[in-house]
Amino acid sequence: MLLAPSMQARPTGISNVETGCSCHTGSPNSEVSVFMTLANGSALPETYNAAETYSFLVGFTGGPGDVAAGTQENMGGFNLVATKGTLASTDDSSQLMAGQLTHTDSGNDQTSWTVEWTSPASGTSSFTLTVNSVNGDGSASADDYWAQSTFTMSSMGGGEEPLADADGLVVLFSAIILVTLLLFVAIVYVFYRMNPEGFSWSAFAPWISEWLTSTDHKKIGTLYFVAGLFYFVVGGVLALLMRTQLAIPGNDFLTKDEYNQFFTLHGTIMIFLAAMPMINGFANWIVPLQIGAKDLAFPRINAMAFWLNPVASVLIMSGIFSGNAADVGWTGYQPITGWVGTHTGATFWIAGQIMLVASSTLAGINFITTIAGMRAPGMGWMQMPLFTWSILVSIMCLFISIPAFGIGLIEAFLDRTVATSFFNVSAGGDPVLWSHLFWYFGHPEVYVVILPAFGIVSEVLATSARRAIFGYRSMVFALAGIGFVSFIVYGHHMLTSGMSPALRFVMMLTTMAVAVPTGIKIFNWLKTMHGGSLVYRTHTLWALGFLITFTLGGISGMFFPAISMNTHLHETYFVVAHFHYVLVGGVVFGLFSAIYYWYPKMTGRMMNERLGVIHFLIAFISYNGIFWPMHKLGLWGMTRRHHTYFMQANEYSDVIGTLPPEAAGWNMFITINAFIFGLSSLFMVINMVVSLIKGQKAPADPWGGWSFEWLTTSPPPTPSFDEIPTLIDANVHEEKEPNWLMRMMVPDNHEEVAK
Amino acid sequence: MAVGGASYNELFEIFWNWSIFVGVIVFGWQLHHSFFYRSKDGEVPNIDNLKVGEFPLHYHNGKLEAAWIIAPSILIIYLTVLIIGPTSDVWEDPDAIGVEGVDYFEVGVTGYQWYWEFDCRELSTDLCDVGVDADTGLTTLILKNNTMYRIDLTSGDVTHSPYFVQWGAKEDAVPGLQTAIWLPIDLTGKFFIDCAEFCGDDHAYMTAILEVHE
Repeated sequence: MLLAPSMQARPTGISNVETGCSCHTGSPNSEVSVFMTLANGSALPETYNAAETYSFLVGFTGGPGDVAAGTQENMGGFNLVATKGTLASTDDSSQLMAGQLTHTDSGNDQTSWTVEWTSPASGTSSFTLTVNSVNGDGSASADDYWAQSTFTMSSMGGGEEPLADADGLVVLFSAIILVTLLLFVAIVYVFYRMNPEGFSWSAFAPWISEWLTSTDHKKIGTLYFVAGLFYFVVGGVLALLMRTQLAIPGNDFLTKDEYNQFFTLHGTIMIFLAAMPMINGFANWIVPLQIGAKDLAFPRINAMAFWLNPVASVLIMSGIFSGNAADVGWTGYQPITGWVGTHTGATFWIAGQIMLVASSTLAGINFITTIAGMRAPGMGWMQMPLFTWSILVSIMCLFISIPAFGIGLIEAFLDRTVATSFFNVSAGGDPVLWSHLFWYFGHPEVYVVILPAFGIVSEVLATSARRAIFGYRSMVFALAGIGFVSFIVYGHHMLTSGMSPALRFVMMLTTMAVAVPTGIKIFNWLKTMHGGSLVYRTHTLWALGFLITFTLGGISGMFFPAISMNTHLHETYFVVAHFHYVLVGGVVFGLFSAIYYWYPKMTGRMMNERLGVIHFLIAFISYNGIFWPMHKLGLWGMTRRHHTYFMQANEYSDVIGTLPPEAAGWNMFITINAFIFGLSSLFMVINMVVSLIKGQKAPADPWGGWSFEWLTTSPPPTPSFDEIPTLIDANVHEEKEPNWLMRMMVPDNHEEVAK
Repeated sequence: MAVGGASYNELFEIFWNWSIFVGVIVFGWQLHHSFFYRSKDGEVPNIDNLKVGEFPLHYHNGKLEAAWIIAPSILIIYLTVLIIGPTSDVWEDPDAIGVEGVDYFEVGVTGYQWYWEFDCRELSTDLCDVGVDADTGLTTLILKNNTMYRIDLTSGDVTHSPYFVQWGAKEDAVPGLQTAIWLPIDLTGKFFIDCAEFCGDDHAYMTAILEVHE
């Protein structure tokens, strides 16, 4: 079947016709004459119509084979070559071998054969017909004759070359460009809606240039957010196409080449171009508001960090339009990334990621400086809202880990462009070095995207339950603990990579420790609800949904550090299920919660609760429908990054694969749920757009939160506070002589504020 | 058909039971609080007196917080002790002398884009043989039941990873590096080997058959 070329023996036809006939000796003999006519017996026409199927009768007369049918076992054979068009066999007397038609075992007791030819669009086709006339004794002998003749047919004219099918990727991304243009039209419409009477084109240019050149943290936050949401859709479409391919075993919806590009781009887009910008969007918007700052410390650096993103995203995907996007997986493992057979788009993909490294570094400098130096009076480190804490820890992780990734990318880039040999084994390079560099960054990176979600859920749950967060200080230490642990566990991604066994053993032990700080956070969230009065809003539902899915993702994560289990589970769908449970059920659910929570603050309009609840219910159920069955597929041994999969031999399939028959049904189930989940996001997008135009006006503090962002108006003015607020602390603090650490961390004006 | 191998199945059951235990606690707790402490709109007591611009009173309980640092830590330490033991069953330093007290035989496997090359070294054809599967036309590695094998891995081009599903064994075959996996063969029949590390276009078709005879 699909598995391999069939190994069944083929009956002998005539081959090697260029140098005579190989299957029978003897020589060309004039006794034998060759004929080629139309199937109805009329002579071969001189011209043909374009793209039409013709039926021909080919055969011979004369020679030892020209006897009445049935008198001898074998009579003869033929071979037909056409220079243009396509030959096809019509019955079991002939077969196609390497583009040439020849007779089969059952077809060698005939003197004529019926064949088909589909004409090309234009040109002259010549047919070379070789025939055997044999004495039927079954062996080659001198009185077996053969003959060869050439016939030609030329085009009637007027035929046109049919247009080649456009490449699927080109179609897809042309559609994306079209959508971008439509987005531009939408932007013009938004501008028109703001003031329909006073609309003028001369006012449009300054308005749009204000967006493109703004250094205001709110505008840049919105730009980040819109870019992230856009790529979230692009990555989602890629995922749906992959799921369509995997819906049934042996599907040919995508080619293997397309599938490889799709999962590479899906991973890169979702992490670097969707999750990170959306988090940056919220960080830009909310962090200055929460700490009572008028803007970020370096507004122009902030703008530059954002504008590197769109440029990088174009580079990352630039291979697509020639059908040559990166096809190495988002991890870009070596030596496959350095292998000459990978697409040229991979070089651009690496270059784009180097730009993102620059962007993240700039953003890191900015946020660390802002949070360290621009907190409002009265706000010490331990009075900072948890979302700001989570952004600080996450940016610190990113800031410390991303240089390793940058170095690895530059090395990989040099390997591909100027033939250095950092990872080239034959020249003494080390492919495992890349894995170390990548995962030293890659593991903190997943915490970089999950920690802000922790911060969001801490804010949302506490506000919704009308309580202070339980164990504020242990929450902060757990955040910092997770940040620290993220640097010493990265090796669990490499437990089967062939790295040093001692290091593998250490990473196994440290990885088990991740559960402790994460457990503290989950129990603290649960205890926060205790004795509270939980107000059910859409953002509350998303936060509660986050608790369920993230806990499930955390539990499934506990199976990996055990090396004897890891060797079975590594690179299977169990891993895919686990990281989608923490990245979708964790990060995306957290971001959805943040959208519903802070949307009124950002736009000054309330979102529609009913649409929000419908979105949550559909998305939460279909989400679990996608990723829960993947655990089982993984346990059965379904490997990831395969564009097709093989079932165990059963009544429907003769392939010896790994998966039991019910796996096919579960794959279809997953695909259906993936489409439901994807479409359910439309509820949110529609909700956001409609609420922007028709939503109720939002008050300054719609949910009853305590932090500074609820102090300013919705939407906030520019600069964000008319006057820098002062934080009051409801707790009584004993005056202590600050130690050296406190002197470094507490703002200078702390003493004045205390009075 | 059982997959994953003996030590995997043993550990999986323990982890699975503890997962259910933790899940029941967390989800039971959450379900209870989600409904018990529910407040209808309009009657919202502001318990901790949250006010905009005021850091709220600390809501904490040192003993409880210590309890859920210590209790999970005990569980984690217990599970960590459990997983240290079976580690050597499936995975061993390739330079080590092998499994104590057990005779084993070495078979070489080299990955190429996109096929496996099996090398029986100097083993007799009873212990190890290479053939072609009649049904599928795939390369077949023929091994003997109830025998311990050490599969020595390397690659001729990019990184591959043979996946012996029934024994839950896989390890990267890295070019320029020798890695190894232990394969304690204890089932007869025909099994499917595929590639678990992405290696290019025909990654999904990089298959072979493992045939085990008595």
